[in-house]
Amino acid sequence: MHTDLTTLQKNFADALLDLSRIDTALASFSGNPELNRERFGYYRGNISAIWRQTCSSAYPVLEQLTGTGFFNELARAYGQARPSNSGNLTEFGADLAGFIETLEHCRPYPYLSDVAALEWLVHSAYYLECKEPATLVQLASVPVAQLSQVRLQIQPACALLQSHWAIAEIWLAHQMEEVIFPSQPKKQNWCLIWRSGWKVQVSSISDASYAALLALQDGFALGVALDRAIAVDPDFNVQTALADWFQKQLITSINSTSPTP
Amino acid sequence: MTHFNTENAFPSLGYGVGLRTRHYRDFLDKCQPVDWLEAHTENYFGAGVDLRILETLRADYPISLHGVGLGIGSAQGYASNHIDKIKQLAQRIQPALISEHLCWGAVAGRHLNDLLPMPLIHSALALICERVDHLQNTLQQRVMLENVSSYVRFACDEMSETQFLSLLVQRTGCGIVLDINNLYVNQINHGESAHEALATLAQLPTGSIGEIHLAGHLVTESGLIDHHGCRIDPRVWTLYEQSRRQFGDQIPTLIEWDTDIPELEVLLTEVQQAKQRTMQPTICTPI
Repeated sequence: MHTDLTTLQKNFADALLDLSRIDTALASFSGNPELNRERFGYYRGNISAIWRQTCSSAYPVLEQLTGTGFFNELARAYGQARPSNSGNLTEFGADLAGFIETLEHCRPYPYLSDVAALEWLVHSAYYLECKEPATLVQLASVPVAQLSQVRLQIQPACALLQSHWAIAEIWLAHQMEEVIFPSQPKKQNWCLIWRSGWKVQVSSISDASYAALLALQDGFALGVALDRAIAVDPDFNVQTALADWFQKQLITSINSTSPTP
Repeated sequence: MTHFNTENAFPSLGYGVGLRTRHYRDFLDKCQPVDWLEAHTENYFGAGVDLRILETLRADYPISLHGVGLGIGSAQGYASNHIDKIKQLAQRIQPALISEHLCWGAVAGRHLNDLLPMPLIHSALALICERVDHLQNTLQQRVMLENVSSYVRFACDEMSETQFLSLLVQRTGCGIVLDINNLYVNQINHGESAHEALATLAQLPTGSIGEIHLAGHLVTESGLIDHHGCRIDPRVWTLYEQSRRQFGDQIPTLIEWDTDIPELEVLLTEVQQAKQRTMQPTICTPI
């Protein structure tokens, strides 16, 4: 009677994640045990490399900020602590920002977690749909009396993030050849993550514009969204904001009939 | 339940390469001298940039969807919603071919995201037969499973990998992606004869092999590693020539390169070599 499939695979996985548990797995293999130990190292090396490469691909700015050595250790610790739950590797790393917050040795760099959160949204935007955009001309065709009631649908690939740190500036600085870290990293940031064609963009926007876009994303009517922006900033310029949103192709449809959420 | 068999013939596509991000621009800018493209299924699960590009290229090249994340042999941690995503993608892309690997990749509560070696035992065969039936019925398409490189073998193995795949074909009507490099890697790592493997596969009904894969491997002191990061080894080419003689030249051939991916031109020279080796085989060198 041989060991069942579930146990064989569990023993293999245990040894992949914890070298001290390798003996049970080695006992289940045929051939030379010492050679098997060495070759099992290929699989152990693979899993660490997969965590490292996947995190590196999703978090290039974080890797530059922390340095490759620290980043590789971070990816390894994350892979151990937060099990991958999908066969689709693009989903791996979703909770790195939350994980960083739990790490004592990251405390001196409190912006790292928010930079990670921003990078995950950038990574996700690449994989989300960008629909055909609506235009300002379409909005202009709505009768003035109905304008406050319309709902502007936001692109699925568009995201918003607020931080106490200058994460948009930090991210943008790392897109340049010569990186100049912001002189004042402690600074409120309201970030807009959006796609221009195949390229993901990050913009630092005003708190008022952020409030309006957040309301639209939550399904509120344009009137409610603009009221929220004006509550934040009485000088909020509606025309400029609308022109900016449509120019960035953030709006996919203009709907005057859907119910209030 | 639909029964799939060799009457559901795999198409004869010619010579293809694996579509990788690095070469997107090459394919979008101009028509390249390849007959078809292989795409790793999971890379196109999203609705974003990659899918748009695949949809664009789909107009010019037949696509083979090759899964790397299902882990069809995982006793636990098998995610059936992964199949729903394959189906969604297949409906959108209408691939010429769909394939997975003969491997496992998850345990309860954790995905390991690798192509791990199956214990070649009857209970595993029964499990995979069930899963292949389900996959084919869900997709309403005959699928293929690929032989993988392995660095260890289980003491409890009751058959060779080729025998396992042959039984799978007989029981489910699925097909095989024959990776010649993997056969060679396993020959060196485990002393399993690649010639015997080809002879066993030659016993299967004509049309059981739907794709042939070729890639490079890394030589280390403790064995060969299937890293897909260099040109194809001459001994693998010789085995390829043998497979052409045994199974015919109608089976689509794929050049794969996944580590340190070079300019597309390098892959195209390997495609040329595959064509030449098919048309005018060289004199066999000993393996």
